[in-house]
Parts: sequence; C-alpha cells; structure tokens
Amino acid sequence: MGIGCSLGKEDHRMELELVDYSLEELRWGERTALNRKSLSISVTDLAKQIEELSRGICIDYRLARPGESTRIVHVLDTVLPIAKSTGSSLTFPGFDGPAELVGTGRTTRITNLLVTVAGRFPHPELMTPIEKPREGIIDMAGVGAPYSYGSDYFHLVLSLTADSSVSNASFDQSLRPIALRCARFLAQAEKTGGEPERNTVALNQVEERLPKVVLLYQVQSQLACARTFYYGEEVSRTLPTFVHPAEFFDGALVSGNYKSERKIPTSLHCNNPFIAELLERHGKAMNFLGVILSRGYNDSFEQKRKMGLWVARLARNLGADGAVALMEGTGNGTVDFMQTVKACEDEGIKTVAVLHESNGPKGYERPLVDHPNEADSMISRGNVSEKIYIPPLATVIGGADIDLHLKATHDPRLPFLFDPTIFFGSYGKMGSSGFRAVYQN
Amino acid sequence: MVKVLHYLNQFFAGIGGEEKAGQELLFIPGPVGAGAVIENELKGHGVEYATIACGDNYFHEEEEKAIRAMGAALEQFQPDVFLAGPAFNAGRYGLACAKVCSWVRDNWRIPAITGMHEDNPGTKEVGRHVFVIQTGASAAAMRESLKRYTLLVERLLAGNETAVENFRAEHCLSIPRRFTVRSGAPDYVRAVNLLLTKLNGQPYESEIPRVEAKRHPIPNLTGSLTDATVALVTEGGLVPKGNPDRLESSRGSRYFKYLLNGREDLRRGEFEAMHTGYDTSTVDQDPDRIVPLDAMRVLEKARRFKKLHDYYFVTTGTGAMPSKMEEIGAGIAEELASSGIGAVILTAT
Amino acid sequence: MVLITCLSNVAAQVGIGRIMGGSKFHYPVGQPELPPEEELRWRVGLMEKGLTALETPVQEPKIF
Repeated sequence: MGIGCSLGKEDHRMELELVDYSLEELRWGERTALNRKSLSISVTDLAKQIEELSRGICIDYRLARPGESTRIVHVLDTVLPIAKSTGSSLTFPGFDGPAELVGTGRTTRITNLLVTVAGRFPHPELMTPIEKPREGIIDMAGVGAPYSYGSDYFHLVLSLTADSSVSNASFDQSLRPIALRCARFLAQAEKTGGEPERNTVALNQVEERLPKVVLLYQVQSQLACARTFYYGEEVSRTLPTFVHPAEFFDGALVSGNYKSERKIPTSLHCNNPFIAELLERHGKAMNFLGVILSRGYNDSFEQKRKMGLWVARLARNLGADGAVALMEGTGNGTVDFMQTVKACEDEGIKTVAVLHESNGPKGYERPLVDHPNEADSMISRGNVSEKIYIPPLATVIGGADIDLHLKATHDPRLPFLFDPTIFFGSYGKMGSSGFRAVYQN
Repeated sequence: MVKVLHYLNQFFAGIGGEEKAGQELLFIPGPVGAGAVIENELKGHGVEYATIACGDNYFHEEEEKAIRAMGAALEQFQPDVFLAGPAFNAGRYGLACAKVCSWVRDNWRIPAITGMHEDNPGTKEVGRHVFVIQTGASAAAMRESLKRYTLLVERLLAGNETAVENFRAEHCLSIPRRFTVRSGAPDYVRAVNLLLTKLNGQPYESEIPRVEAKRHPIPNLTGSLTDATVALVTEGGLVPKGNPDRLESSRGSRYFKYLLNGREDLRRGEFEAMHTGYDTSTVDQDPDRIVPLDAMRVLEKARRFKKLHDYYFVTTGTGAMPSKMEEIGAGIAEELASSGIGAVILTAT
Repeated sequence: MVLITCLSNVAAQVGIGRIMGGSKFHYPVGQPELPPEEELRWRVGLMEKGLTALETPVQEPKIF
C-alpha cells in the first residue's frame, strides 16, 4: 500500500501539494504583495503582525539579494515562507496555537526567500559558555558565499535588539514566533500574475524489487540555545521516531539551535535536499520509506549506544535495506552518530554517512573524532578547519562587530583570515556546494 | 620590478653559528648568502631583493614576536614572492621555514617557497599551497637547491600554471594532507549514489578514510601505589573564579596549574569552568565533580597512595586540534615527571 | 594514567591504556542527583576504581 496510506481509504493517502512561487525581485512597498516574480513588502504590515510578540525588542528590517556584496551578521535562524492554503492546521505546528498534524493538504511556498532573524542576546554574561550563541555570518557574494547557507536566497532580515528588561529566555522564546509568523505572512501575500509551480510530496507504492531506504536524521537537542523542536516540543530526551517527509515540508521541525556553523536552520529542515533527492529517486532506483528522526548529544556512552540501537531497530522494523545518515553538530554528537551507523550495519542495513572533516588548518589531523570500522562508506563535506582569506563586502547588515568565537572581535567591514566555522550553516552548505576533502600535496 | 623577500636563519645569514641562535628577527635590505646567488640568477627580471634573518632559537621561543616583526617587514617591503631556506636536514630551521611560509601564504597570498630534505620535521608544519622543494640532506646540496628555487620563481613570474604544476610534480616533496576541493556533485547526490552502489553489491570506496592514531607505549606502574604521588589533570577548563590566566573556553592554547595544597575540597564560587563543550552549570555548583579533590583526600588519608600532588593541571580541549593538545600534554607530562609524579587521574568531557 | 570520560570509545581509538566511563558527559565524576554525603561516597568509590586501574598492567586500551 505504501507508507502513509490508510487501508481501504484512498482519500486518506498522505499527500502534500506544494504551490511554489519564486522571486526575481524583492523590495519595500506600501503593500505586501507578490506580482509575478516581484515581491513588495510593507514594514507596517510586518510590524503589525509581530507587535504582540516583540515587546521590549527593537527590530531593524533589511533586505538582501543573492549576488549582492552584502554580509549579514549575528544570524540566529532562517525560515522559509510557507503557509497552509487548506484546512485548519498551521505550518510550523506547535508555535502560535495548539498543534495540528501537518503533511497533507496544500501548502504555499516562496521557495527562494528566507526570513532571517539575527541579533545578540540581551544578557550574554548570564549564560554558561556552552549556552552562548556562536557568531554566524552570511556572505551573499564572493569567497564566503559557497560556505554561507542562504547565500543563494533573497532575505528579509529581522535584526533584533532587546532592551535590558528582556531576559535571555524571553528573547529565545520570542525570536522564534516572530520569524515564523513573518514567514507565514509572506507566504500568504496576495499574488497576481504568473502561475506557480505545483509539486506533490507522497510516498507512492513502488515495485517490490526496489531496495528500501530510510534517511537517518540526527538533530542536536541538548540544552537551551542548542535544541530542536518537533511540533513545538523539544526533542531533548526522546526516542527516535518515524517522520513522513511531507511533515518536514510543512515545518514540523523548528530549530532552536544557535551553534551557528553546525546547525540545521529551520528553512533547511523545511526544504532539505537529502529528502528532495530521495523523493526524486523514489520509485525509480529505490523505495524511500521516510525519515527516522533521532537525537544526538546523549549524556553517556551507554545512552549514545542505545540511541544507535533504537534507530537501527526502528529501521529494521520498517524493513529498510539501506540508509543515508546525516547529523547536526560535531564533536560529542559524532559519537551518537557513529554508534547509529555501527548499529545499522550490525542489523544488516547498509549505511552511507555524510560528515564534515576536521583535518586542521594544515591538513595533518585525523579527519574524524570517532570512526568505527563499520563506517566504511563516508561522504565528505570538506575540511572545516582550513583557513580562508575572507575579503570585505560592500554592505554589512546587523552589527558593527563580529565575535570570532569568543577569541576576539572583528570589524566585519575589514578582511580577515578564518575557517568556515564563521559562516552560518556552513557544515551543511559545504556539503550542498559540493565540497569534499581529498589527499593533496 | 619584482620584489623577493628571503628568510634565512642566523647561520645562513652569516651572523653566526649556534651561539647566535637567539638572534632577534631583523630585516636586511638586499640579498645575503644564498639570496645573492638567486638574485644573480634572476637579474634579467628586474628584481629587488631583501632578506630576513632570524635565529632558530629566537623563532621557536618567541614565535609570536617573530611573526609580528616579519609582518611589519612585509608591510614595509611589499614582496611579490617569499622564499625561506633551504633548510636541508636542520630541524629547527626547517620548522621555522615551514611556519613562516605558511603564515605568509595565508596572510599575504603571495607564492611562498621553501626547501628541505624529506626527513626534516618541518614537513609536518607546511600549510596548503606552500612549495617545498626537495633538497639533499646537507648544505652540500646548496647549489642544486638554489637552481631549483630560481627555476620555480621564473616559472611563477612567467605566470605559466602548467609549468608550475610540472615543477611541483618533479621537484617538490610529496606531503599528502587532506584539503577541501570542489567536487562535481553535492553531498546528497553522492550519498544516494554511493548507497545504491553498496546495495547493488558493487565495489565502493569511502570518501573519508579511517586514519589510525599514532600509538604510544602504555606505561605500567613500577613499584607500589603506596609509594607514589598522584596528580589530577583535567581537560574540563576548571580555573579559579575570575579566570586569572585567561584560559580560553575552547581550543586552549596553553595549560595552567593551580594549588590544591591546603584544600580538602573545591568550593562553589571559588572556581569556575571555562568550557563551551559541556554544560558547566553542574560542576560550577561543586567543582569536585570535574576535579575530584574531596574523594582523593579521603583516599590519601587512608594511605591508598602516598600523596596527592600540590597542583592540578588544566586546559580546555573542545574544538582543539589534536596536535596542539599533544603539545600541551607533553608539557604537562614533563612537569609532572620532573616533580616525581608516579600516576595521573585525568578527567575529560 | 587513567582517563575518566564519557567518550570512552574515542579514547580507545586513540590508544589510551586505562579508560573509565565516569558518570555523565557534563559531570564525569559527579552525581548531582544524590545528597552530598552519598555523592562523596560514590566519588570515593570511583576514585578507588581508578587507583585499582592504575595498578593494573595493560598492554592495549582497556575500559575499566
């Protein structure tokens, strides 16, 4: 029958219709409206949308376009404009009201626009070192662009500054709904002229002979400022679970993780190229069963091992022959990831794992923190510790200085030498830019 | 006018031998020693040549200062090409050459060329894009080496990329390291392709090889623990409140030691953990949860071992390069060994 | 030397001779859920285990 089908109920097949718009132009205007491929945004409209969510928070609204010589700093998250066009459920369920199931019906998207929320927390001195958000910049052009997640999108940047009356927890809890509401609002903008593209997300029944494949999706959810939400709930102490790909498209996963370079932004959860690729190949080269969502950064080796065992058993229960695995994070979380790869191989599920390497600035270090023998099919995202000369760009949005990961501050209008960890979402972006590491003289 | 800047150690700059190894870095307008040979060979190109001389010991003991002085020299001279060595088999010289060339290439993005024998430890410090010309083991190979430096500079000036690559293949040391390149396809396409290959039972290759760590001999206790002094070491970044020595909260660049003598346990409020890799709030409440002093005092009183060392050692490992941590570990080990420490308990997060 | 860390498999991969798993990642030698005297007793027991490990000759990585 296929994943997502209710027996005997043809009209209850899980299917999501995507109504996709894209931009060629983005500008301010008196109204918020999309005419063909030109989007005009009214700041007054936006401010009204989020007024009740932004008490004590001052918002600077800016625009950025792909290819512009612009550097956006202090980026915390990016959100894709998506909104349900039918039914009572909302995209990004669990935020802004009671959660309803998503992944069916029809969703409108603006596929190359991001609502980008940036800013610094009001009371960093009250945070323990691990809670402190990491600096993340997006270079819209030049050397940094292939390392910066979002460099190929248009941006509505919300640069937030909270006054001292706002607590860190309150700031964290506000910035999410602010961004999500703006994203929904933009997706619902009045549209005239031009026809959208239409696509369907479904896991139709396919030939028996095709190998069954799952996507293993390990997120980081560890503590405040480094967590992930599923239907609005933190997944910090949960079992791995099965998630239908269509739920991802509707924003079932939202990021609350500010470990900038190694996070999966909310928009990437929502528009993930691994999911897209597997859907594309579904029925042709394989039978894509869906996604297993698990959580890395468990607190002891035994717990990491068990998470791996649970993922492997769930994959086996689903009948998987093979798995593609990806993770959010690095270091400690790599151990959970490798335990998962090992456990899957031990359960007879052939696994390919995608990971960045830390070969050091001169390329001599061992590539991975943890590398068991079972992880024999790795895909590389490149060496994230190589120094890059980063030239200045003409415009800086969002701040007068950036922090080089607590070591020093730097004027973002000046060039500097640093590794990819300064760029927002760089680990994932390096992968999708086609970077990998190889032996070279 | 092409400007060439050439780094030499105290010996090859004609300043002196081992007794002058502490020579501060200095800028000398014009070529010196080997530089004069190269300058002569390049005469037809309209070359302005200058030299940096630096004692091998000075460089290693005051690397930061030396690099700063070198940066100032580059600011002033504005070279188009940077040369260092050749170092042959001279270890400290080779290391200095590798480091200065890497720094220049990273920060000035001009061609940086050095030369040494394949056994020179300097080969372990070479950055990407630095040319390391293969030389013989001693200065007897000087003439041949300088010919190669000259040839490479000429090819670089000619802008002939193929010729430069041919030179690299023929005359440069092969020092394979892992660097980022742009592949034809994104990771998600390659991942699915690799999985299908694996599922079809076809031969496949991992993009990331499994690299074995260098093994060290594991020491076993000689004698009895009751005669031994035990030391506590931690990677958890625990420092006295206020972090007086400014230990970094990630990628510690140094280690520190702090007094345990006179303490029975570590008190909340007197210590704090500088570490971005774990949630430090629990150990901040009771620092014995990362440096187990209270428990060790109980066992010390019970004469389970002779004595607890007066100091504990600390660094912060998260995000650090293993080779840096090796350096730090070696430093701590040396201090412990010279204090007669017989055993260590190391806590890490 | 005996290393107490939650990432015991990584320690074994780099060839550390004596490895103990400890408590949790964020407090390798702590048990904050226990009342203070019990936590100290637990920690003494863990250190005792560590000292025994130090006295045990090993030829390759061993998790105690």
